This record gives sequence, structure tokens and C-alpha cells, in this order.
Amino acid sequence: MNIIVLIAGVHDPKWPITPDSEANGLPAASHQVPSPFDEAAIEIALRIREARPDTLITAHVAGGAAGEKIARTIAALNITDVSTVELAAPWDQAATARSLAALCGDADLILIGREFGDYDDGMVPALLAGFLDIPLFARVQTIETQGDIRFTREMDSYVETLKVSSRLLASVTNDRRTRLRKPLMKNVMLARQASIGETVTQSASSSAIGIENMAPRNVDRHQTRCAMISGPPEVQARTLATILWEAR
Amino acid sequence: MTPWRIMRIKCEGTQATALTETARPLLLVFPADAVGETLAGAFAAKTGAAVVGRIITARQEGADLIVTRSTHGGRLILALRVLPGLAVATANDLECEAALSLGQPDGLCVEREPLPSEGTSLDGADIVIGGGRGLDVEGFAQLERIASALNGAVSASLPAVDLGLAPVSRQVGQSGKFVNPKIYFAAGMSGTPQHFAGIGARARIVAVNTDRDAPIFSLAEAGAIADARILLPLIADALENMQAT
Repeated sequence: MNIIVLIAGVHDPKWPITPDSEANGLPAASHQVPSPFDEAAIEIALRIREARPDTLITAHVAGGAAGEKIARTIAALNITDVSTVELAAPWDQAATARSLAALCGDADLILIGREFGDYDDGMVPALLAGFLDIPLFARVQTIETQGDIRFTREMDSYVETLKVSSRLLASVTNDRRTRLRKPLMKNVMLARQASIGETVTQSASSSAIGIENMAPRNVDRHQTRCAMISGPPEVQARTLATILWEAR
Repeated sequence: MTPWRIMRIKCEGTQATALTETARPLLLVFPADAVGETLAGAFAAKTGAAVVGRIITARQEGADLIVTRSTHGGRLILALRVLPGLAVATANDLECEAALSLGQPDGLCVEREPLPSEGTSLDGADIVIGGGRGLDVEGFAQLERIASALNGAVSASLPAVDLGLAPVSRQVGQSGKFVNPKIYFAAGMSGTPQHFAGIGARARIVAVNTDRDAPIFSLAEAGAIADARILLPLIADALENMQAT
């Protein structure tokens, strides 16, 4: 089985982020870390390879040079075919999906986080499936590899299971059952010397949309002066319970 | 200047409805959930419509449409200018002038089994009782008691879900469900933009946290600096007493 894992990376939430007025407001891509969705996608690929040793995994990490650190993290998990890819317009979800489609070749299974990086909110996987004209199984949570490969997800009040039997794009969401394993230290050391490829894609942004501006998000709700409830825990609890009870 | 039409899409049926030709620029707004996103992506890829993502606002400026969406985990806002034509968006909560039905994309043979009952659904809940990574398994059990006494629904932040404290179907935030309750009780969560991107503006916030400098207290109308492990059982007891009388 040939698997392609598409990794976006996100700005580390621990670092501040500010719009860059000289770049249309787009902040510089720095302090990139894998998102929880990226990590779950990698873990699922590794589990398939464990169950089927002839599996080949190829990983593409968005962000060009800014993605190299993530690429080495992936290489440390014994995924040797890793490259970074520069996206021309990461804020344009359709352009991103077109660029990614060009990387997918004839892979049997394409794994991607349910959101592809900081500029996506779930549309990139859906668009990618549309451009590749293959089915999308969205928001996968777990995988079974005994016998057939089966993906499961929770949708509303159901658990849905899909047996992977034909070419498929699966977007993956965070779940404690697919938390990414830690690499072996010797592989971390080897990954520092690993060769990380670079891929250039051509998809420019749509001519129908353009960036107007980018700004820090002001909190939608009003900042409030919080009425602090003091006193012993029993008093605090009674007061909070009363607030909640009266709000029913 | 031709006014834009902004139409909400309802995902129903199995056949895609032919889109009526319209001379006016048209923004189609799909539900911001797995089905809505999948359908929006398939539709946009097929039609070549411009894609603007999960939008928060849309307003006309001249002949163009200006839409906003949040990026970087809800910390930044990106405004896009959309030229007249056909465009596709998703949204949690956006006023639209009409609804149009499009069939769900099909082709996957999926087995479905009902989930064990998880209590009140987050969808449409007026009271939501939320927990973050500051809680543990027992803390979430106490949230269930509190929610049960109030006929409310339990939610969790992404880190709490990652820790296995709650199922992903209970995740609220930028990458989870959008809720718009009358009151949101937040226990053991700091109040990140990522989490609050999933909570409607009408919600009154009440918070419990051990850190007096936690951002949640700048959003809450009432709060207590306290150890949730001590306070939550006491709140649950008090509510159950109120329920009994």
C-alpha cells in the first residue's frame, strides 16, 4: 500500500503571533509545530505500516524551509521519504488543495489532518477530495488493522466504520487513541542528518478572491469585570450553584 | 451594482440539486460540519466556485463581498475581498436570506452503530458545562452531575479531549462544535481564543480556575478562584439539593 501523509504544521500556540504589515498582513511562518491533527494522521500511517510491512509512506510538509523542523521530526519516526513543500498562497484553501493534489500521484491512501494548518478550517481536505475525484472519509478517529483496515469516527449519535477497500482520502481528527508515539533517540539523531527533499508547487491563488487585510482578532464578547466569588468553598459552591440554577 | 445573494445550504437527500442559474453574485453558505464541508468541497471543486472558508461576517462593498474568517487558532482575522461570481463558504452562525437543498455526497459504504447515550446533546443546549485540562476523570464525572441537575450538556476543550477525559463529540472550539448557550460554565480551562471561537457571543460565562490571572476571568461575569476538585462536588451537591426541593 502506498500512503501519502500531508502535514501542515501550525504556529506554536505558546508563541505570540502578529500580522506583518509588509506582507499583506500575513504573519511570517515561524515556530511551526505539528498540529494534533497532523500527529494523528502520522500515527495512523505508522500503524498501517506496522500491520502491513510492505507499506510505503511518503510525507509532505507544507511551509517550505519553515517546515523543515517538522520534516525531521517525521523522519525520526522512520519515515524516510519526507519533503517540504512551499505553498504559493496558504491562505487560499482552494489553491492549497490544488497544490496538494499535484503531490498525491496514484497513492492508495491519502491521510491529512482535518484542518490543514493555520489558515484552514476543514475545507482543504474536502477540496482535495474534490480535485482528486476520490471519496473523503472525514474526521477519522481510530483505526483497526487486524484483518481489514477499518477507520472509525463518531458522527452525531453514531459510530461509523469504513473498511478501506479502494483509493481514499481520510482526514484525521484528534483522539487519545491515536496520539503520536515518541521516536527513538537514535532515530532522532539520524534524522538530524537525513536528506529532506523540497517540492515546488505552482498553484496560485484564485483570481476571484484577494486578501483585504489581516488583524489580531478582537474578542467577540465584551471583556467583563468578573465578579469574584470569595469565601470558603461551601459558600463559593452555593453562590455558583445559584447562578447556574437561576439561568435555566 | 448588483446585490449579492447569500443563501444557506441544507444538506439533505442523496442527489445534488441543480443550481438555478442566477444573474446575481451568489455566496452559498454550507453548514460548518463534516457533511457540510465535504459537500462544499465537492461542489466547489466541480463548479470552480471561489472558496472563502468558515466565515464569521459577510458584507457588500461596492460590487464585491468582504468576508472575514478566523485563522491561527482564532487569534487572527483574515478579511477577503470576493469579486462578483459564485463563491462557497461554511458558517456556524450567519444570517442568510434563503435556504437551498443540495444532496449529500455519496459513494462510501459505511457501517453505523448507535453511540451509547451521552446525556444531553450540545446542539441547542441552553446550559453548557465545560471542562479543560485542569480537570481529571473525577472532575468530568462531577461536570456530568452538574449538567444532569441543570438539564445541561457537558463540553470539553481540545486538550481535555486529547487527554481522553471526554469524547471528541464533546469538543467545543475552533476545531470542535459551535455552541450558543445562555450560560457556559467553564471549569479548569484557561480561556484560549481557540476554545472561545466555538462559543456564541450571547453566552454568559461563569468560571472556576486556580489561576487568578487566567484569561477566562476577563471573559466571565462571575467566577471563583478555587480548586475544582474541591468545588465541583460541592456545586453538584448544592444543585441536587435545589432540584430536590
